[in-house]
Amino acid sequence: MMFLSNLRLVDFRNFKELEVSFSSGINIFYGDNAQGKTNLLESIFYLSNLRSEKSAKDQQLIMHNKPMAYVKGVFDTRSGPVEREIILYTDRKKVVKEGGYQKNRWSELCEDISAVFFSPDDLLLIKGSPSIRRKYLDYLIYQLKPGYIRNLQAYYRIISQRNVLLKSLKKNPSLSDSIEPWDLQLCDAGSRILAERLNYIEVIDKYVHELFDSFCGGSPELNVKYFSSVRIGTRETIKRDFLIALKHAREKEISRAFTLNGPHRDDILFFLDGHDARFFGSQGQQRILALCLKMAQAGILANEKGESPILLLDDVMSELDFAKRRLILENNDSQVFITTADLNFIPDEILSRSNVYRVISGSLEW
Amino acid sequence: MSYYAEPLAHLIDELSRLPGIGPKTAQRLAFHILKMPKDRVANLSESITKARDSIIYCSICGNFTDIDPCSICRASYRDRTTIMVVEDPRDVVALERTRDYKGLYHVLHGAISPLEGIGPDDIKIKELLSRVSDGVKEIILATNPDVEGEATAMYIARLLKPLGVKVTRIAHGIPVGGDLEYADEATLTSALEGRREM
Repeated sequence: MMFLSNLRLVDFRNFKELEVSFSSGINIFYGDNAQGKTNLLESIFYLSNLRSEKSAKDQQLIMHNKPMAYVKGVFDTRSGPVEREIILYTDRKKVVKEGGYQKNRWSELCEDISAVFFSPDDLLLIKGSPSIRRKYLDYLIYQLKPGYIRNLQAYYRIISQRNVLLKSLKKNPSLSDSIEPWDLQLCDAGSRILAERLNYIEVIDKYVHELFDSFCGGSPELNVKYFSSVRIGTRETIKRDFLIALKHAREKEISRAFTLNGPHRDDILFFLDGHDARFFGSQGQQRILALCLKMAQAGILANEKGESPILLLDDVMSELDFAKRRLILENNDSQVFITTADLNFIPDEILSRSNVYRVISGSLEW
Repeated sequence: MSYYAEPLAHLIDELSRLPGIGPKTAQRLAFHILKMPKDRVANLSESITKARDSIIYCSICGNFTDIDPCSICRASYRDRTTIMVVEDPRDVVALERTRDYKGLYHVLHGAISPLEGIGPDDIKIKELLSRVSDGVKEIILATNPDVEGEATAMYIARLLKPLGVKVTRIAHGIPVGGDLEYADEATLTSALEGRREM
């Protein structure tokens, strides 16, 4: 089983310097607010997934007024210990090393290492805009099939080229025959994305359905559905129907200078006994649903990669009732990191088998 | 305040405007030029001016040349029934190195990109169409395998179809001599889709 055995931070967020070892089981960070509990989880997420969960920019991870930050972790993996280092700069691209050697391609890095971040903001997966749900799905697919990102990048490049062209078509209709190459490419890249998403939405539905049942005892019944702006089918029929949809929408698209159909407009919806969970679910049900989505992500990664991701639970416990807190951590062979302001939120039998660390303004006590 | 005497600073400044040359490389080149014999320096500056003055676009294929039409378009041994369409004169050089292609070229000088304001009329597509006459049997589209190059190839292909000429697109896939295991997923997928029967 993969786990993080050692972590070293220098000038990362509010941690001046930190060196700490962890157990392969449950590790708990507790302390008052604004001491750095979430920053620790973020450093572990960054080290594992090479991207930040919250802030978009690498620079924001560096301690204020410092030129660089350093994160190092030793992961215990099937193929022995893996030492991974990341050096973040304020003015340059980050450097990633593994085993002391700089790696310029992510595909050269140990692929057993990954983490899933649970946070109270996950509620946005249910209540937020469609783009948040598309990102969740796209990131999961990317983690399993890194080549998927090329399709996405090409797709969005085609969209921006096409939107500019639509705008000039409005002024100059004689250009109309130059849109066909973009339509064809849009349908090709779009149908790849859609087919892949449909594949995984089915898997997600199965996982989330089962998880939700275990939390809520089988009622209400949960279903996950993909809402596509293009008729769903095989890749070939999607490609064909996508092209037809574009032709139908042509005039509207030109007047709005925007591509109106395609995977960039799609959404994922959740139904509780057939009712849209965004409007008919209680706050509690929505929270559990968001939690299930993240647990499904972890479950699918574990199943397809054969190695469980590290679970990072940021202040998730306080929002659940006692029985559900235990459910999260039961039957789980992942390494887990939990932050909490109050150890009373952690069920006793879990606390007794956990490593507990106290976080006080950028340092750890244990 | 400048660290260099004015003429030297000027030279470094000019050199650093070249593609791929940063301030450090520009400085190194400038100091090297100062140490060169005078006649070598004269040679260098003369060849730059001469190249700039005498190089023109070939009126047939659009490639760089000093004599119009260019040596490839003039060559009697080249196959006049095939035209390879590329984005850039550098692509011609790359293809000529293979010594396997004996046909003619057509340089578009760009690819269609609405974002950059480059439409079909801004690259040499009309010139290509006017070259397609009875003698031409095949047009090979060798634009880059990115979104813009692909759009350009598709656009040209559609214009050529009614003219009854054979239109082909170069294959994309695994680099020769490369290891399959090191190819990225998108390349592998594209290679798989372009597989042929043996």
